[in-house]
Amino acid sequence: MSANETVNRRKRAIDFAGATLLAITVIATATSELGSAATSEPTAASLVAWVLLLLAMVKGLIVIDQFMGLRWVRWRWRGLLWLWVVTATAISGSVLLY
Amino acid sequence: MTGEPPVTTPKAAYPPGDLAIWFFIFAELTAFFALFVTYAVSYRGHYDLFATMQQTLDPEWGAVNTVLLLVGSWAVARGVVAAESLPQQKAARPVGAWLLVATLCGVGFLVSKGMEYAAKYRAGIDLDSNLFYTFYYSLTAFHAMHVLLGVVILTIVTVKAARGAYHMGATVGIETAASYWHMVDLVWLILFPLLYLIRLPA
Repeated sequence: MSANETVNRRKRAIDFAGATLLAITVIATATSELGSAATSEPTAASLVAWVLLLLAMVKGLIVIDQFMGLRWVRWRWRGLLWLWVVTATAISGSVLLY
Repeated sequence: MTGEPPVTTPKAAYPPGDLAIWFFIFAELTAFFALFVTYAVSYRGHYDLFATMQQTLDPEWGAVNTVLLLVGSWAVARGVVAAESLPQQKAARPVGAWLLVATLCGVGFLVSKGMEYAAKYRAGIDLDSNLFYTFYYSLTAFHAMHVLLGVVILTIVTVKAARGAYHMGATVGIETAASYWHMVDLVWLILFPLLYLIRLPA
């Protein structure tokens, strides 16, 4: 694959990721107007908002993965960073969901 | 054939940007993580208050904030790609333009956040109104301070980019700024649904 194609693929990936997040944001906000405040049932807005939160986590992991790709970092530092990610995700996930 | 001269992209160095910014990012993410957990625990402890007060927020303002940050992040990412793939004589204008868009989005975020605060203040809602709004103001203002710092950083790199500082082989500065900006954007992408949209299970 030529360098030009690689650059174009990166541009398309950035455009796609941005458009996806924008679309989910707009849908989540729009559906929030449809939800009922009087019930504790999960509304469509809430469900879409969870998707947005999930995508944020994916984006976060991708950003962090840039750091994980640090080839010269000693394995124990990488282990420590992964421990941070797993612990933070587990604690916040359990607090949010249960 | 497109007629474009072939470019040679140097293999990406790890991590992008300066190593120090990653320690800063992890420290900031840890602070926000602690605040999110505290918010969730308080939500459970004062469920009726939080669930009711959440309905008084305006998701439209939150969506405007989110769109501005997402467009800003997109522009920064495209600016980095432009800097990494273009030689010095061609990079200044496109890289500067992308970064200018991102900077303006950051300014737009701060303006819209100020307008949202003003509307709440006019409605008689402030930091002392109740626990939910204490969290709302604390979390969003703490984040807005990070956006403000991000705007300062982006302004500096925009000026430097316009002078031709970032191009193929000279990308550490722009990657550092972009890494920070993505962190700011990421935190808001969690804050927006958490504060404005998601009703946590009882």
